[in-house]
Amino acid sequence: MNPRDLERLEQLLADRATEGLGDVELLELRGLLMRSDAVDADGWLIAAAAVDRAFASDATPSTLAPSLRSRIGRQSREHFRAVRARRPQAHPSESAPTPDDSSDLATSRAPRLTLPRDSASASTVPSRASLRFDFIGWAVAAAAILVAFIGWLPETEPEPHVALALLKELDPDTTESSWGSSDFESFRNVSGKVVWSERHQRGFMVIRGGPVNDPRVLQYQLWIVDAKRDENPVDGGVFDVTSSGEQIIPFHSRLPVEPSAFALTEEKPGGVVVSKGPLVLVAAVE
Amino acid sequence: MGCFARKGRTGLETSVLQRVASGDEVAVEECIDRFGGLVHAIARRMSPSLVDADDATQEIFIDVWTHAHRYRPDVASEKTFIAMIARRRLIDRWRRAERQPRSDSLDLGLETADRSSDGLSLETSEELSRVRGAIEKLDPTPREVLKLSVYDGLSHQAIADRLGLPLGTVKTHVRRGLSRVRSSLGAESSGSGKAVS
Repeated sequence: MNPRDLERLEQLLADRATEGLGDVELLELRGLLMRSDAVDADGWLIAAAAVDRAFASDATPSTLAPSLRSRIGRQSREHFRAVRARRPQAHPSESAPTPDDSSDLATSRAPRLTLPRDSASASTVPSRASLRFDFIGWAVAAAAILVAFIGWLPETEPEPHVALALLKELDPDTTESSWGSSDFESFRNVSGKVVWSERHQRGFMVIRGGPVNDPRVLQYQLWIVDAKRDENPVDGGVFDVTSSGEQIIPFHSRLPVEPSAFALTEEKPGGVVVSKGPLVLVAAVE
Repeated sequence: MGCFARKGRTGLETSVLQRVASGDEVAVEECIDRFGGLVHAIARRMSPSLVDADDATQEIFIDVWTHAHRYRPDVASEKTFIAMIARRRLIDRWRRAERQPRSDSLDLGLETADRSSDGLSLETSEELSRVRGAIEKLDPTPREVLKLSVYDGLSHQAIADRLGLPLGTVKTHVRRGLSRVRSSLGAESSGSGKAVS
């Protein structure tokens, strides 16, 4: 790396450690890190923390207010309970929901996503997951240098449009598949696409004009159809449409897939292991 | 209050954070008791209100649990590690909330002064001794810039406005000041440092 770029890299790291970085600067920093030799990115954060402590008063209160202490303790216990609950189950089917035919969504409308109701296959479908963009998980799938930087701190997650641009930068072979026409009236005016990176097994849905859902009533669930798999489509997670404008929603596949299509269904809140709801949108990979 | 790690960066005993990372629930409570005040003090300095500081403190501890496994005694003390997590979360909150540089920090005046004439803490530890030494070697203006940026939480632009300096000069002072502190902490020279896994 030339001296000018190195100085710019160090300046960005210093800025990050003191006042934070905007999305564009964050992208620039990540680009520089990818081009640099191994850099101790965390060292700048540690230095700032050490400076902070050096200037801090020696008379800092040593205990929290009881009410705050209690809240933190309670929240911490909940956090660890949730962590333990997310660990792989010995029998995945134990965490699978009971199929529920009572939903009024089960009325026959557009063609359903017809899939074999094979309980053995169902047990291999990963448990439903909310569509949270795990940027740390992203880094693990990327270069080691990227891991060194993005690694582990509660970095500001970039805005979705920035993250999408980063995905395309990291993988020039990303595919883009437009949503097809829908038989559902509420989805007739929906446009957009699915951007997919086979290298990173991650992608983004771009949805414009989608009908806003009440998550207490129904949620949308993404399915990744892999023609080479004989089993059910792979669960891409549940999500909500919160705006009729453009939404960019990240997703990833929990199983290695070569998508031939992406399908959206309406499901009960929390989603399902095997689709029960109507098929509302499909994007075929060409 | 439980068994805390031996002081010093190279303590051979298992630290509180390492115990947290191994799933020790008692260590979790110890960690809150031991570092809660530190976290809250930083949050108060870098938050617009006490309510915000309280919320931030809760978020910071979740980050601590999530990243406790990353703590390495040979890199920094537990206090500095936790202070780093706290600062990152607070900067992140500020960025999300305002999306513009801070112009002023809110000093809630809850800390009483107990410092040297340079404004540096009198807390003694090997780590802080090295850091203080590095800071004291800075010229007055770069030292002031570093304090205003890191401790007082002013944006670089606000510092430039306050001290009548070009923004680029402020940024350079921050970079060089932190670089010097990094060196004092044992970091390798820039460009050849190790990657943190």
